Amino acid sequence: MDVKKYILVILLVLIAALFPPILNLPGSLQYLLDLSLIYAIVAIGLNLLMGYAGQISLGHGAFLAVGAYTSAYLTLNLHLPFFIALILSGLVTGIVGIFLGIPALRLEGNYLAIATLGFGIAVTQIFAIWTSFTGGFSGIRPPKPEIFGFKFSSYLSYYYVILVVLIIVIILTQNIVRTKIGRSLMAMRDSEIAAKAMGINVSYYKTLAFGLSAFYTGIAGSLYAHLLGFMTPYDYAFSIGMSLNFLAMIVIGGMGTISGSIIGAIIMTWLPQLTSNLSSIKSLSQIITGAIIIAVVMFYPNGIAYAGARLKDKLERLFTKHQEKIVVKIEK
Amino acid sequence: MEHLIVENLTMEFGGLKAVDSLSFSVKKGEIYGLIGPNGAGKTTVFNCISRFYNPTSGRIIFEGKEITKLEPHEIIRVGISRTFQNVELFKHMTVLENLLVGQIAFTKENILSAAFMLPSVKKEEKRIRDKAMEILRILNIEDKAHEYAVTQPYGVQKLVEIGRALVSEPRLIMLDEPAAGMNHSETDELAKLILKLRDEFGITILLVEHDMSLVMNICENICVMNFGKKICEGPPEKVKSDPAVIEAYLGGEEIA
Repeated sequence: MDVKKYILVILLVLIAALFPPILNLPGSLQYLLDLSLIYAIVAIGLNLLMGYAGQISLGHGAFLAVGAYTSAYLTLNLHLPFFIALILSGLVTGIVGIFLGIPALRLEGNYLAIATLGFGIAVTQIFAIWTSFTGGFSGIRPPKPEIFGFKFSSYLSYYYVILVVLIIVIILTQNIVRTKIGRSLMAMRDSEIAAKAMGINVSYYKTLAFGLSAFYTGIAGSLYAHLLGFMTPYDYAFSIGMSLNFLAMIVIGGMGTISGSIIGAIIMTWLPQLTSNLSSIKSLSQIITGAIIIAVVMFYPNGIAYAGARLKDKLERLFTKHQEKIVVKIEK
Repeated sequence: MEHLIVENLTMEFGGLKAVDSLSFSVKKGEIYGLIGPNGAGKTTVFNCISRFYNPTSGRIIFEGKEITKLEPHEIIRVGISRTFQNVELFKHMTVLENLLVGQIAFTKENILSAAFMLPSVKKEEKRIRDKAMEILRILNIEDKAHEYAVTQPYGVQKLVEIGRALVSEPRLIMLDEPAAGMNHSETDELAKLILKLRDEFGITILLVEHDMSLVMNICENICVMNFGKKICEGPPEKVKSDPAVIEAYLGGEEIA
């Protein structure tokens, strides 16, 4: 990695770390900022599954619920520290993901989409009935996270917990997709038959992709539970609607890119909020959001991350051409 | 020494016998051609050897070991690698990445060591990258390393596929119509390459090909198939003059 990239990364991290306290956002907007980073983790997980491994899932809202309730249970009932509950929620959800991965070995495309959709519906229904675990309508109150005696009770302080987890997730994912496992997933996506011939155990990697993707979503679920403070199984984030939103995030941001996942998550979380201020008519914000999504998909079918890369490419080419012209002129 | 032995191989699809008790053997270091009219069952034989199909009956023995019960992804580990008739590249990966995938079976990394980029993983990545670049240099396409496979012209894609098969250091390579879609000079280059693989790398080569001049020029032995059965086997001179072979090719078309 060159120096330029390092500087860019450090700059981005500094901006992410410094701008919330400088802006001093009102609570509701800081909450939204926290939420967008949590969704970014889900989007990275979903992108690993869809963008890299070429599998589809319309049930990630359910994984989020599994992670959230596991974490709530571990902290409320077993009194485990937040940090351990976070990791365990990821692992438990990962195992659930592996189980969902098993039908994926026999299903493809639309059929897999329907199967995962069914999973998503089933989990929310089960959680609604299973009141001893979820509290049902009356809900439960996951405690505010505490690390080494420090209580992250404000949305701003909790923002940093989420940011650190997100950065770790980005680094680990980057490493995974650039090495053997990432290459195996992409190979399987591009040609299953050639992947097999090259020694890739396709069944293993499909299951692994589901497990990994669910692991990430479970981590996000845990972060979500402790952000909420009050949680019922009827939460929108656990619904099929949200699963579709996650899908929209990675399509808009860019399939098979980590940066695209984050961009998509931020856009899909903030766009409805920003457009809602434009008019007093409530549904207008949804219409505008929808229109913008359609426009992005039409003009940047590969997602915003690729559009950005293309723009940079064009600028560079323009610049080098310009330089060449100057060189030619000087030579003359 | 017999490197690969195919013994009474039969493959039925429903009532159709695509391959009918076919037997042949390939010696170590040999270039062996498998030819026949369209639909003769050549690719089916390849797919049985690479374990995509489960043969109805018969055995396949490689280096003295029966491989008929192995999984498709285990075949590259015993030392057999292949290319495909209709180029099966990983389109949205770069040329270099395609070759890296060719070494996956021998890449020692696991999810944790990779996620934390341990020194062992860095070393391993460097090793396979160097190896892949070396192969690209041999194939004379090193300048394409960082371009996407899908953007390459057909001839280059074919080379990338051979490179991907080569990078796992196989002892037997199966080439499924490597010259298809190539012009004369490209085919000549290909012939040189195949001879080089055998002479310099000591790789046994099993070839399915429609380009008769290529097959006759480089193969030491040829098996001619028609309707799933072997109709003739032997060196090019023998095969060329065999009446059954001439009959099979459009009822007597001259084969050069």
